[in-house]
Amino acid sequence: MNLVKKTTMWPVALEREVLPASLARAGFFGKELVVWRGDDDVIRVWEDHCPHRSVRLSAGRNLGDSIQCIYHGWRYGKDGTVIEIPALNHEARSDISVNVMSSAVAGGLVWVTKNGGNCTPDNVQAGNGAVLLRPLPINVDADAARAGLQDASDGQLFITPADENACTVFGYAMARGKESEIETARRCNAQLSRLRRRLEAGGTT
Amino acid sequence: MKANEDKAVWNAWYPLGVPQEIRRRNMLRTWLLDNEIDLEIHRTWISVACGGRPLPVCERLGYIWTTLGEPDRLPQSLIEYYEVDRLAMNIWSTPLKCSGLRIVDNVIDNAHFPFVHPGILGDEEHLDLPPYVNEVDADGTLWSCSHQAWLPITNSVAEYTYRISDPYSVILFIHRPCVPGEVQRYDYLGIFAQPVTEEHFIAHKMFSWVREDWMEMRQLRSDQQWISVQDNYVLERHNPKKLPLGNGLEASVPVDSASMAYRDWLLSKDVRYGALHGGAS
Repeated sequence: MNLVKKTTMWPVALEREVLPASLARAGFFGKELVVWRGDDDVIRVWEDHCPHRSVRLSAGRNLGDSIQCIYHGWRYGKDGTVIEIPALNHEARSDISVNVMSSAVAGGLVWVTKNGGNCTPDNVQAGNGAVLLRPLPINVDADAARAGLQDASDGQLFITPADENACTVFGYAMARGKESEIETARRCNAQLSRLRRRLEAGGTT
Repeated sequence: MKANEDKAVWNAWYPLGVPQEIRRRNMLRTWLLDNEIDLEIHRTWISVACGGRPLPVCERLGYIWTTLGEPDRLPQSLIEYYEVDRLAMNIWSTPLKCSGLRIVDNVIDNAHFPFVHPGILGDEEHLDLPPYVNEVDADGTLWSCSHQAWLPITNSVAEYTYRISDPYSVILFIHRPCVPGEVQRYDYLGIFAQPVTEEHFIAHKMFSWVREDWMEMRQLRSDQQWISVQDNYVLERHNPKKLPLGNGLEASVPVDSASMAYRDWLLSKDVRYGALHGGAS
């Protein structure tokens, strides 16, 4: 199996799971992220943190053109800056902004970079017969997960560290023989789940 | 950090609960500033100890108060609480997962009413918040006076004053309507945090209101609990859970002046327990 190691970008969500008018969450190197789809169908990834009083933006609302914080109703436009402060005569404040992550969509996954560099996922090998797996959270650190998943099935896996003690596995599986997509996904998900249980129980193989 | 290195926090009084409720639940243990606290229920009083060391106990504003340090005064007083024409009760004592400093910051903030308590304490048609005054008196108590905010349940503008005499507590004075010449009276709402750890506290919330014919204990309590539940949704979604102080981690606008005054006041007392100094954690 192809376990992707050296990388400057990581998947944080399945594109199809980022729905209009809703907010998705992801963990990324100890940061909390909010992933949302605007009314322009563009997916944006921000730090899940309102710069005003530090409430998670994912507790708020996706209004299509903006995210509204649940606490004071501040709205953040598509570029991440404040476009409305209700208690301040509905004024905009372009000097206040959420932390916007550099992100891109490729191969059905939403990718982000760590330090704001250009996000151009080029290591995705989603070709014919590749089946997108559901994200699998594992409660061990990324290195332990990498060691434990060495012998996972054919395909391609990406391990995104959520924080120091947890990670999420994304990836593709390759269909064997006359397997349907759902059969491939089922087989690989079952195998990964077994590996996950073993890892979380403290074993390595 | 160690709580006993924070003098302002260590040498303050904290409520542990209501005597009747401590008896009814046979509550023999609680926590304060990372320390396990043992309670002993006697026939006519309740004693408190920490690791065998007896702690001072004081009953005030309906609660049992104690301290781990050496306060230079008694727990904060509110003489009006005991006026005979008042209805006073503990609304609840409930655990919350964030720094107790966050709830004080929440209580003194009126700009969230239209969004967290829509139709109850505010609505989006009345967002105007006139300026108000923050001052520290000779006793070192922080006052944030005469906040005016639209109150949908009475269909009028209400006036609030906040008194902060300890880092982890706040008393809200709700100005009662009064005719010229009459003495101004207030309805009181106290929120006292019992810090369990830096990121976990028990919120003790009480009120003492001038009794009126329509008032019904059970209804008033459930109304207040309902408002608290709405606030709790926000309080438990802070990230970081501690209150940032003096590091520009949270942007403010002019209507947040009470919140900024509270943070400056905490900084002047060098409060660090439950606060986040310096850069991001």
